[in-house]
Amino acid sequence: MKKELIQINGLSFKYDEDGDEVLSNVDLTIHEGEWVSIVGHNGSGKSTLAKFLNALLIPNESNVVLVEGLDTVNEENIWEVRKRVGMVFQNPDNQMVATTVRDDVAFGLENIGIPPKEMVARIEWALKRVNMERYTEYEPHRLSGGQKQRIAIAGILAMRPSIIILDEATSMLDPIGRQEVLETVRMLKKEDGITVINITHDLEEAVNSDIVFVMNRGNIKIHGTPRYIFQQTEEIIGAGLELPFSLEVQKQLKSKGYQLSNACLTKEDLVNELWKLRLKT
Amino acid sequence: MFQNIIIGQYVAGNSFIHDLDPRSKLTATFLFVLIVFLANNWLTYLILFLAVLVAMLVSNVSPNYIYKGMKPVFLLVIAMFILHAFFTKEGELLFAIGWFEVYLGGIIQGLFIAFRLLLLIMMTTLLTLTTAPIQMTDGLESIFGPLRRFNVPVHELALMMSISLRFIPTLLQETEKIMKAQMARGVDFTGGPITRRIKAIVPLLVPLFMQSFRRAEDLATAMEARGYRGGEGRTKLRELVWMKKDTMAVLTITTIGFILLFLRS
Ligand SMILES: Nc1ncnc2c1ncn2[C@@H]1O[C@H](COP(=O)(O)OP(=O)(O)OP(=O)(O)O)[C@@H](O)[C@H]1O
Ligand SMILES: [Mg+2]
Repeated sequence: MKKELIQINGLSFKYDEDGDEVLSNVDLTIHEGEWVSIVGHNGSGKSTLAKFLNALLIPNESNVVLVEGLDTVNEENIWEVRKRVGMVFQNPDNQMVATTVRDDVAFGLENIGIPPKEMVARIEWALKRVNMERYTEYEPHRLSGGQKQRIAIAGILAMRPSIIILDEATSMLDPIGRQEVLETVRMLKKEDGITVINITHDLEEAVNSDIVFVMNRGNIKIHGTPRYIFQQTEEIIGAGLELPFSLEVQKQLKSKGYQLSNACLTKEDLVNELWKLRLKT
Repeated sequence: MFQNIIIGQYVAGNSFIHDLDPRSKLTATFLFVLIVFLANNWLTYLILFLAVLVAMLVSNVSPNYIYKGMKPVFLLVIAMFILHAFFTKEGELLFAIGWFEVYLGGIIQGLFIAFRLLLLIMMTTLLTLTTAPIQMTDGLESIFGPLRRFNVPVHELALMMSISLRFIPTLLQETEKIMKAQMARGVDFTGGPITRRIKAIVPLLVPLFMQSFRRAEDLATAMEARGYRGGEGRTKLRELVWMKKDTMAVLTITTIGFILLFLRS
């Protein structure tokens, strides 16, 4: 069994004393090296949950949020947790702080008090990792959305985190930018063993993950491998999500009386199933 | 409309002046501003002018840039000259039209004042031309650092300045986008009487402000997520290094100041 990186037990939360519960009784375990997808409709509490994972929100005593064994209730742990869990947010324009790429990657390092000499080395390394080393002196407004998100990733990477959370980090990007960002993160997962939590409402993006959590109104309804999750079509629709294209096709086919033998997660799988369909009947 | 935005007037280069520590440049410029007020005769003004000329030559900045930087204030310089030339009643009477009299002393006084203003503008333009805004911010933060002891939020002010610098181009781009969106809805920003044009600004400013508040909130969250906890215990990527040439620059200006003390009348 792999090491547990994040452990949440019975987390409930509301922003206002007398408001609705935004999170209710959430349990979540994430293991080292996993690619985790958290999917859910708008307002289902995904971002709120993510904020607990890097101590932007602090649970009260009766709840447990452990990050690498560090309890976030304990104020002394907050800074260590933020070092280990990096977050990339939705709007590429609203997370760059500095006037140049280099200074922006430096921002996190300055915060945690890394000496300047080491900073220079780490910045160079991190920018190479995300394939942006040629843009060191660029100002933010001269970068594309996908490039800005990769700079945000470099800024996190330089702090040597064990977990990267993408909170709908690709939802404002064009298909090329989205591909760039996801490719980059995939490579980091593979080569640096970084655990990835990808928050999205696009189930298509969850196809290749190790485990999928489906959120609905502050609850984690079901979780499991994509193969398992995608078979729970009722649950997915009930959670207000759109089925991925290949699943939608299968569902429609089924209603017309064509039953495919396997659940197909990707378009390639679907095509393979379809051309074999006649052979069997 | 707002493409190729350059913040400030900084022109990248690597002259002696470009390479000076921003703190020494700021100090030297400040001293120069004080010294300019010591000059009160032809000789002292000549010395100051030569000093500025040498600085400009050493900076390797094309005079064209300096001229462009000064252009907006020429009118002010001329106005200052006219004001002093006409209202100082000293020395020989040159000519009079009715009650309107112009004296030689007035002309000279006007020339001096105009020249003083020009010197000030030249020197400060040189400072902004050779110092990147972010360096200027770093320099100011360092110079005013000691004020932290009196609870002046020096680090926070400097951060505010650099975040503003970062977001000016973004906000300009956004302004352009909103303008186009509102123009597509029939708002006319360019024509019509002034009152209508002022009214047209409202549908521009409201979305701009709403967006900016959003941005501010997002940015604050992103900064916290990256471990920002104020100036305490923070290191800096750009270290300012005070070198021999910085001491030299400040000393040179000080020396000029002393020379002027002797030569002024
Ligand atoms: N700062 C806040 N103060 C009060 N209520 C909030 C705050 N942030 C979020 N909420 C509310 O909490 C609920 C969950 O919001 P959250 O942002 O976690 O959802 P989400 O799943 O990330 O949605 P989206 O897909 O739109 O990003 C929403 O009903 C939202 O209105
Ligand atoms: Mg969200």
